[in-house]
Amino acid sequence: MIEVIIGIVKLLVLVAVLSVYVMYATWYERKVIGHMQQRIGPKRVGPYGLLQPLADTVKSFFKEDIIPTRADKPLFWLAPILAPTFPFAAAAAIPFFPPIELSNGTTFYFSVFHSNVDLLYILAMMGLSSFGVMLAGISSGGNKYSFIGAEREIAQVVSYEIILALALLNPILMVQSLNLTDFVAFQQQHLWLIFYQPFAFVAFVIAMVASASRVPFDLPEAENELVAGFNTEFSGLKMAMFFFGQYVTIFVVSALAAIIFLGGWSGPAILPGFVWYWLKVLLFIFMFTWFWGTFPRYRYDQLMDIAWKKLLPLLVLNILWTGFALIVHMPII
Amino acid sequence: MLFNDLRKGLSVTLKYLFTHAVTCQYPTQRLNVPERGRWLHALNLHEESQKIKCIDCGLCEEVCPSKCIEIIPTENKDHTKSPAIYNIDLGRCCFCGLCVEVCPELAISMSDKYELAGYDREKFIFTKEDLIKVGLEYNNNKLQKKEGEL
Repeated sequence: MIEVIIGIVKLLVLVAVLSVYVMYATWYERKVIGHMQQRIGPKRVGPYGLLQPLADTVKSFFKEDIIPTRADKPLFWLAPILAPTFPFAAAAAIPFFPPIELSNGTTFYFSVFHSNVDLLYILAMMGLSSFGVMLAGISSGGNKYSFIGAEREIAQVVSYEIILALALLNPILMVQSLNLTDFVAFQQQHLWLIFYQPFAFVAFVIAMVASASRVPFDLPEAENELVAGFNTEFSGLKMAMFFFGQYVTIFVVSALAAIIFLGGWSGPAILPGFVWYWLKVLLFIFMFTWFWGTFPRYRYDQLMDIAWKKLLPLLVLNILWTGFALIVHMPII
Repeated sequence: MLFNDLRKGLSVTLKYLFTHAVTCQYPTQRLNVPERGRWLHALNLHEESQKIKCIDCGLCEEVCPSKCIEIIPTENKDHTKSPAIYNIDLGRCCFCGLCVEVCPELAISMSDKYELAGYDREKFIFTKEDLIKVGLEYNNNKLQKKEGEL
């Protein structure tokens, strides 16, 4: 019973924290992109524009909610619900702090849901998260922009999903566990996995940018070609829900990369573990913004080319090499 | 080197992230207007007698391509003419500056006032008194600026 209550409290905290995170992620991105373009970014609402996300939230509540007459109404409602649900579900398995040992011998995990198959669960939820976008395109009543956006999302999903999983397979082979805590324990004993698997790390970064649909792989949303892509027909809170999904996905993949390749909360003892962990997560979140301010967009055939013709064969070779090295007990560097 | 052009682009954006923003924060901070810029009109006065320079020759009215100047003359005691009414309808004005160029007495010039938006069409019609006020303000500011420079 007490576990259920703890679980519910954790869930509420997760949703609250991630909602605030999403709000301030938009503020932070506008600010950083602004400075990258020698602008200032939001500054009028509150000091340094810090109340801008609140104003935007309030505004999105009062926006007129338009449903196209030709839209498939149940799906049109379902799509914005599904879009943030699966990233939130994936975030449930992401730890927010290092686990602590309690006095009665048990370990308290700072994630809503902890199991030995964390990684598999997160990958499964990330795979499902593209359904919101696909449904959005299909339900928009034949709007060509939405439809092409959804079509591109599907092309993108079949490209990056396999790279995401295969890039994680190398660390999984080395650690021989799907438990995120084991990954950090492994890296506390050895070096960080980025030093053993640099190529897998690069492939994972490419796949994680694609999975969050961010520049240079923001194909489903391509503003300058497709108006707003899959969410052209969505307004107000419905559009905000897609935003939620995207920003939570960014958090999930950033935390995943920080834990699996950069050693999570392991690091020199000058700083406490959770500071290291959050520094690494924020580094990846900054990386997304940095890419956004820099890169143009790839065409979707180029993305498929990168994924299927370049990364996939190289990753298969990498897995064979890792397996070989593990069997002969070779120090891999 | 791997990803060379991507790295180059990333270094450029990172560099600009730490440089100063170049935007002018308009209502709190203003750019200097060019000296010969064509903004709101001003009617000038003679410095000694404080009488209006305009002799009501009607050239500005004639040359104005959008016909926004309206002058109704009056005769003074010394049998000279001066405008009783001098209206400029800024709702029509295209700020070409021909009225300034054509004026033989340098009675009309242009000030540096450019914030002319309004909610009401009637407010766009500037009368003689308004324009004289604009001219006084503008010339005073100019004088002060010059003294400051000296």
